[in-house]
Amino acid sequence: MSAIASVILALGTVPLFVVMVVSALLLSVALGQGEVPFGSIVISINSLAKMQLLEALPLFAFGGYLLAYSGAPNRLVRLSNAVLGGLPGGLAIVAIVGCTFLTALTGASGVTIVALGGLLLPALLKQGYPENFSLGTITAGGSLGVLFAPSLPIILYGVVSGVSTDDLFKAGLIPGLLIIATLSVYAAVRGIQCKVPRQAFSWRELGGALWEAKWEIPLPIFLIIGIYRGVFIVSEAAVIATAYIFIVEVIIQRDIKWGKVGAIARESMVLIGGILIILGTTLAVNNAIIDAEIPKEMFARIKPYMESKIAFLLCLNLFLLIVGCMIDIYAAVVLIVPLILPIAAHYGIHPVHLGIIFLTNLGIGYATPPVGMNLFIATVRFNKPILKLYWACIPFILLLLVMLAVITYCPSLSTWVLDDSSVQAPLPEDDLDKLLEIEDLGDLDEPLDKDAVDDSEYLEYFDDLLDLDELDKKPQ
Amino acid sequence: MSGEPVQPDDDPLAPPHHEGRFARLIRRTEECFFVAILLALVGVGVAPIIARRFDLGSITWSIDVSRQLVLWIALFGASAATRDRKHIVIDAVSHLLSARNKFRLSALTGLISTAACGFLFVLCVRFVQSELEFNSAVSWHFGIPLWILSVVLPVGFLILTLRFIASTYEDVISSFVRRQPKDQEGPAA
Repeated sequence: MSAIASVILALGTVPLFVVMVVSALLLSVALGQGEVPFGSIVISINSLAKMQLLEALPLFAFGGYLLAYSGAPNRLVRLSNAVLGGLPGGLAIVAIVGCTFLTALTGASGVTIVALGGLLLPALLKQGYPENFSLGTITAGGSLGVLFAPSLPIILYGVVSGVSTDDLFKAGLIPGLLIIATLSVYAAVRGIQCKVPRQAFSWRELGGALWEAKWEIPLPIFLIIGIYRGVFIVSEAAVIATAYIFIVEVIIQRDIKWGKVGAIARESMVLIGGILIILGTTLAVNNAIIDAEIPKEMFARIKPYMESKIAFLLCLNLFLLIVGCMIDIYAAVVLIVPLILPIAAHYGIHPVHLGIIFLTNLGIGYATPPVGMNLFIATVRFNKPILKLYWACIPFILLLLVMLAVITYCPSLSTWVLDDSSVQAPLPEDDLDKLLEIEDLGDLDEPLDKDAVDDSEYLEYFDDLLDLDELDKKPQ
Repeated sequence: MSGEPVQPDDDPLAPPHHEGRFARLIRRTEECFFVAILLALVGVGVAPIIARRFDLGSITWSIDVSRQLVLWIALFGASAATRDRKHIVIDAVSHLLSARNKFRLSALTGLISTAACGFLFVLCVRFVQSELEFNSAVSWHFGIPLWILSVVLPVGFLILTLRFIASTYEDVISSFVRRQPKDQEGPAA
């Protein structure tokens, strides 16, 4: 009943965080206030001030927006063009690389299209690329930047799932590069088909572009060394990167006037505030759902229809594609990950691999007709009818779907970077159930009344707990 | 913001044309507030890195302060998102509606949001009261009592409620009054 009410509210343009508040209140009523008191929702929101890593989100968002509204995108395009412009489909590859890079820094917020679209679309058309291809490149080409550091959705997935963001960043590297390579090959083929003239390589132009981008070049190097090699933790990297971007773009380059800093700060905080308030309110709902063992029940129900891991992954892909084009990527991560994570564990899917599947799926959903958000942003930005953008994006979406299948069904592409110890075979099912049961002794928070039980009961109780250790000794 | 007015299409950061002086003043205040919070986040984050670099000892309060600022960003960012009508929504039906019905739907959702935030405001006030009752003697860093930190919750939800009231009022008026053509496209998503 409460689920139906929540769905009706959600479809009727009620902000998602309000849907979550209403759902939490309805759950309180349905499960009885003793189980889920109304006040638990306030405690959940207050727990935003206790969660690890969250401080990285506003910092990276602000830094990314500062970069997007500065002259950095122009310098980035000039530099990429100097390096890659000589390839067949050179400028289109530049567009794909540039959009991906900016999406990694700004999150999948559509800012990439706003920041780079005005620059790249006329340039692509001028070089002779077809209009549909050019529109598709900018609208869909960069959406998978979410797989690269310091992408905000990856950080959020780490926060929600409890998986190390460092592992997630490393795991996203190969899938992300594969996607860039595939789209670049497509761009090259289209460039040759359309007889787009190639730009001659010039050392002079490369030198000029390098000099112009001298302040921005250290940033990706810092992020790659700092995050991928584990020199900094993510929140430290966020602080240093944001401080650096602020100093470079506002004080040294003066691309952004002081008067505009406030508007940029506000715009980035509108994005982050909107995400965090959903996270806070969803925690209350998810805690209630997990306490009521709904994921376990869902697994029991779907298991007869989905015996194999492959069938589950296929259904997950389809489900996430639909979700991805209906719900914002951040909201989808917050709402769905806690429900799917325990079910995926039953099928032996590593949470890091699951994260990469999630983000690739949701990233594709962003540009998928009929309601992917990038399509709407692009239709406003380029003043083109939405149907034209549907057609423009379809070839890119098909290619991305092929890559999604590769990423989903070859887990080693994502998990090869992880320590062997963390990529273990799944526990046998009985053991998993036992684990879940022991976790269900959440009542442990309330200490046992020692007077009510004698010592032998106490020891028996802890012996049961210690049985957990034996699970590790069993041959995998 | 001096000089010639800039079209929003040319400048995505420009405030809306129809914004009054009072609304613009609030917007500027908000902008300054967010810049201050973000600079504080950077400052608080840099402090332990510098302290570690120069062996000045560990700064234990920095992580707690930055996490508290995250809660502020959640509440005040959400409040700004309400003003800009930029909350994350699943908009599955509004494109099927006429402009006037879009305003009516928006007014209805505004009413639900107002009620939910108003109720949360009451819950937050009770939460602060309970913190005051049970944790009044517990102090956070710098001698600040712990309960003071939770005051931001009712303040945030009060602002959210007021903003939802304002946007609902705008939508109700737009639902019944004939608007100029430029406003007939319906409320922003």
